[in-house]
Order: sequence, then structure tokens, then C-alpha cells
Amino acid sequence: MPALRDRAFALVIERRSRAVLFATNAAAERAGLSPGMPLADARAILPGVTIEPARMNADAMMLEKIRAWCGRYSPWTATGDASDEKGQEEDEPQQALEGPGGGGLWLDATGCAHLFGGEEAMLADLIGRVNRLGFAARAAMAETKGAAWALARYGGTDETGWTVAPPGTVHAALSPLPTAALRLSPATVAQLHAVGLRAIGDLLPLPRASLATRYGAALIERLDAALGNIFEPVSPTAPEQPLFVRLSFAEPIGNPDDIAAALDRLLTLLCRKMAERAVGARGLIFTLYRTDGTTEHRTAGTARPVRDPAALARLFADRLDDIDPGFGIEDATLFAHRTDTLGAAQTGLAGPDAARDFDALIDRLVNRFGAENVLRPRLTESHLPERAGTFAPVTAKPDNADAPDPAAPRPVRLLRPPEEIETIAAISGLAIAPPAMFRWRRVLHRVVFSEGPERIAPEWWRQKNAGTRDYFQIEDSAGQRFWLFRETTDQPTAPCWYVHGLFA
Amino acid sequence: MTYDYMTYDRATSRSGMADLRARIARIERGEQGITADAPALPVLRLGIAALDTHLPEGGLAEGALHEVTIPAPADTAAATGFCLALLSKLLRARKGIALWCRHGGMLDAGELYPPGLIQRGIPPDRLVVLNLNRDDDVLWAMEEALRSGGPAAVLGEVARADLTATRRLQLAANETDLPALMLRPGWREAGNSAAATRWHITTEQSRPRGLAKELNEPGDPRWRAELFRCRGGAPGAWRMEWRNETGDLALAAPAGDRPGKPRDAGIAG
Repeated sequence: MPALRDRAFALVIERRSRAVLFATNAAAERAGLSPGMPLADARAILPGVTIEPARMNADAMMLEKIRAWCGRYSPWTATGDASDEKGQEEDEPQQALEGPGGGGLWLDATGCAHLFGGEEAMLADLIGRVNRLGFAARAAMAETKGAAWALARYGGTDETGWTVAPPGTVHAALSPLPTAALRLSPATVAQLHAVGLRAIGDLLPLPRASLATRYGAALIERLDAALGNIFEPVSPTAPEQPLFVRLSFAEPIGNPDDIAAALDRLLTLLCRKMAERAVGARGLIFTLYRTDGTTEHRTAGTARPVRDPAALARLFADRLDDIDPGFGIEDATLFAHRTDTLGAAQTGLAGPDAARDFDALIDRLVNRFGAENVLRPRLTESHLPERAGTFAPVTAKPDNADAPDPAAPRPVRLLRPPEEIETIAAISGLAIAPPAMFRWRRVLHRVVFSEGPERIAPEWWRQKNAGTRDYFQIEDSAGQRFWLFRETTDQPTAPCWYVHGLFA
Repeated sequence: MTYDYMTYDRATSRSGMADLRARIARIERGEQGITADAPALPVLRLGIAALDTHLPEGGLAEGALHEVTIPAPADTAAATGFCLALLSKLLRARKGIALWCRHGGMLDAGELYPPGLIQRGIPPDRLVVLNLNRDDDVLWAMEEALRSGGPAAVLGEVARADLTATRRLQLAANETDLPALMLRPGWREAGNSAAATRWHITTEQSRPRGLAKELNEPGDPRWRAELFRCRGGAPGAWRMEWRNETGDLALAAPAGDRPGKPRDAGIAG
């Protein structure tokens, strides 16, 4: 909001039926306003202050957008994570005023900084770009999450807006910072202040046990996390360098051919990386970064690990056409978020191996039509015909029961659900006899041959009030064959007849 | 995750001896330009002598598109049965998995039923069914599957396919020597097609034999298969049965019109 940059500006939030400042800009802070101050006080200090109501949801959404945008720097990005917010009650105004997600973003830069020419260059690029998008931001990079948090918020960042604490300097960097930089609750900070412990450095020489008993285990935990005594990952697992490749364009691109070419380059780079680790991709995320800060994703999955750029490119084919480049795309990244081991010898899918061709085909079909539409037959051990034979996604684990008893004839097509029919009973001495005629889908069929009954008892433990079924294979005067059944229930109603399947 | 397949090799029909026999057969039929290194076409023999000798290739050419038309909705199951019979023969002759591209809503006759398919010689681990809803999707999937060379056979349910679409499939099938089947309703206009053979499959009343006859039970399913267009061959019509005991196709005998005899005589060719 450049128009507001030079004027004192504050966002206001209602807290306990009082209007309180939620956030202030630099001009307002110079005049003496600060977050948490009641609006009345602020107006007294600076009558001309411009105020706006704070919109938390919009803030959270914007932060989420910036997080997606940060994917250009690292595949592991997060907004201020939930564990930080836990236990912070609404009635702790200071923390609540930190805003959604703590107002910050985490990037796990492990193995990513070298793509930008070093950690300093990466942060300079990050802050520069965020500033150009119109946001004021501060960034810090350190060995631990806690230290980065502290340095970004309380560190003496210079004009550039970023600091890097090189490995091994965390103690020194944190010592002068106020204790609030440890992500402690305001109550704890106030207690520490009361006894004169203002800086993190003051805490370090003190006995840990007494600190813990007096101020709670959280203090020790936060201290350890910041100093790197306990490991605190940004994402659940980042054991090694992620398979992540990135391409920046000197001139923003927009042509679909250029996007495809960029994908090809990225795939080649990624496949080389995967070859070094003897893995193949199972899941890929291709992200495009537009000049206006918005992003566009395309994902693809494979059933088997694949490391052939051409085969992987085919998974994205037809799905790049509808990308709207906007004012141009300046960055593209490709991230293999799921991988599996793939031996060194099996680089390509080329060759006469039909099984591999078939897998590649299945992958293409799954990517185009969705896993729920590429099915394999599944046999289940059940007497109920509709349960005995079904279809399951081809990507699911096959769990076929043994083939059912071949003696009983089964139709080639099954109606789901069975369709009720009108019947005209046969005059017969048998207790259960097939109908003489029946009407199905408005056509009258005269029964000529019939075989049955085959009695199928309901699975009472699955379905209440299900009746016993007597199945017949019948042939009508035209040769059409049906699988009919009569359902008899405990109810005193007459039994109903259904068509359940068609024989070829 | 891995798919559990049998091994993949080209079927025995492509081995040296079979190649040689096919080549000799073609020379005997008077084809020109058959040399020792001319590749023989892989052919699916239907096992019905009258039919196999009628077909110009001595069976259904495998690297080609074959079209099975359903004359009326009541024949849907019969046409399905004919396709399954062909597929089970193809699966026996070839390694790999068959792909069935279903067109939801086109044939309102239920979905394929795996236990019934097993009885028709289609093992559940050798079939993948694609659930689609548009002709364009089915045609795309068929062509993609044929060009990939991966499956053992490809079948697609298609409501409408013009000459261009069928020609593309025919070319793709020919390129990779993969059999392609197209199941389409014939109560809409049949239209032109580049398929190598086009069939009408009609339901016929069965003729129970032996005990089944005594008990008034249905006999083996029986269809009238009319070859109404055959590239390089004459039309014809046969009554055939699916023999449940042997799991094979057989000529129905005795039949009303003489088996193996072209109904539309004189178009031989």
C-alpha cells in the first residue's frame, strides 16, 4: 500500500469491547504508537492517524499466498506453525496480536541456498522481491528454527532487512536478544523481567533445573530449540536434500511451447539428480511463478518410480495448455515429493519391455482420467453377488480372494442395483419356480428355459432386514438370458422379483 | 506398488514356425510379393474352421481394428459375450493385460461382472477397465493404449466414431500389432468405418442338449455372427455357440442357414 507508506497508519481490532491497535506502520511507530495500544490513546497521541479494521482472514489468505510464492526458494515452506500457537489463550493480548500464523513464514533452506549463490544472496533476493511486491519484511537464517525466529523479529537487522547467523554463531547471536525472542508467553517474559533477566544471554549461565521449576519446562524447551540442543524441523521430515530443481527466466515467458521446454529442462535436471541417488519419481509438483506473485501448479503421479524425462513429460502433456501465464512467468520449479528406489540400470522406459510400456500407459491414463476411473476387477469372499465381484482402482493394492465356485453360472454384466420386475407366476408344483413371464424396462419377456434356484442367504451381520434370494438363470423366447432373483423377507409382503444381471 | 502380471513376450503365434506357416498361407491364397523376409501378420484363429478359412488372413488379423456392432439393445449381452470370447482367445495367445474402455451410459446394461468374466476365460488379474463417459475420451485412450504397445488387447465402447477416428485406430493397431476391438451400438447409424472386419452379433435361442434339455434349462449361449464387412474378404454369417465346458467358441450345429456359407454370395473377394 504505497499510498499509506508515508502516513501514520494503523489496523484496529476489537478486543474485550475495546478498540486496540493491531498493527502499525513505521510512520505511526515513529509518532509513538505501538500494537496493543488502545485506539483512544493512539488518537490522543496522533489525531491524524489513518485507521482500518484488521481483517484476519484476509491476512491469513495473503500470508498463504506469499507462502506458495516462497516455494521458489524451498519446497518446504510453512506459515507460522500450529505448535507455536497452541496453549496461547485468547486472553493473552500480546500473543493474540501477533496475528494469524504468528505473522511469519518458515522456509527450510537446507540444500536450496546454493541455487541462489549462497545464503546471503538468497535472503537478499527474497527480501528484495517481497519488498517489490509491496510488503515490508524481515528475514533471518540460522541453524535452528527458534534462532531464525528470534533474529528475524528481534535481531539487529540492518537496512537490508535480513541477517544470517553462520553455523556455530547461534549462542553469540542470541545472547543480546530480549527473552521475548524465545517465543515465550508474555507472562513468562514479565516474570523474567521482574528478576532482571532481560536478555537471552542472562539465562544461559543459570542452572537449568531451577529455571524449569520457576518458569516452567517451556522456557527450557524454547531455549534448547533456539540453541539447537533439540531438533525442530519445519516439516516433518527433511532428512536429506529435497529433489527440487528451479529455473529462472531472464525474460518472463508466456508461450505454451516455452513452458513445455522449461518443464523438459527441469525434468532433465531432476532426473540427473534422481540418478545420483538411484531413485525414481512417484509424485511431481510443477510450479510456475507469475510476475504478479501468483502461482500455478500441476501435479503428476506414477505407479512405479520413473526417471525417464520423456516418460515424465508425457504425464504433463495436454495439461500445460490451459495455464494462464498472466503477465509472464518468471520462475519455474519442479519438486519430486514422492520417490522410490530405482536401480541404476533401469533409466529409460524404452525397449521392448511391454510390462513397462503398460505401466507407463496406466500412469498416463490415471493422470488424465483420475485413479478412480482406472480399475481392476476385485474379487471379495462374499455370497452376495454385488459384493463378490467389484472394481477397485488399479493403484490400490490388489487383494483378490480366490475365484468363486465355477459351478454356479454368473452373468457377464451385473445391474447395480438390481432392477425390480413385474412377474406373472408360472403354474407349477414347485415351491419356488421362476415366473412364466416378466416385464423389465417395459418389455415383456416370456421365459422359455430356466435353471435354478440357487439360494443365497443374506449376510445378516452386514445388512439388516435383507431377504433370502433365490436366483434363476432364465432364457426368454428371443434367447436373451437374465439372472433373476426372488427376495423373500420376514415381512408378510409378497416376495419381489428382480433382474440382477445379463448373461451373454 | 507393482502390478502383478504374467511375463510379457509375444505369443507363440509369432515364433518362427507360425510366421512361416502364415507366410505360406498367404502365398497359397495367391497374394503377391510375399518374400522370405516379409513379416507375417499375427492372426487370431477363432478355432472355427469354416470361419477361419473364410477370413482372408486365416483368422482375425491381430494388428487391426475389429468392430462389433450391437443391432438392438436386447443384443448387448450377446455382443459383450462375443467380445469376451475374442478377448479370452487373445489373452490365451498373448501375454499381458487387456484394456476395456467402458463408455458409461452408452450401453445401459449394467457393468462388467468379474465372476462372470472368469467363467468366460478372463482372469481378473489380466483385465483393466477404464471408466469413461465420452467418445472422445474412449478414442483417445484406445489410441494411446495401442500406440504404447503395452496391453495385450484394447477394447473400447464407442457410441459414434467417424471414418477418421477408426482409421487412426486401425493405423495405431497396425503399427504395434495390437488387436483393437470396438463395441458400438448399431441402432444408431453404423456409418463408415476403417475397421478390418465389422460384425453384427444377434442373440439366438439356445438349444439345450442332454440333461439340460430334460430339465428345460438353458443350453450354451448361441449367437448369430454376421460379418457384414470384411476388408479383402466376403461377408458371411455363422451361428456360433460359447461352449461352457470347453471355454471355447464353436459352430452351432445343426443350424438354419448353412454354416460357413456366405449369405450374400457373389461378393467374394
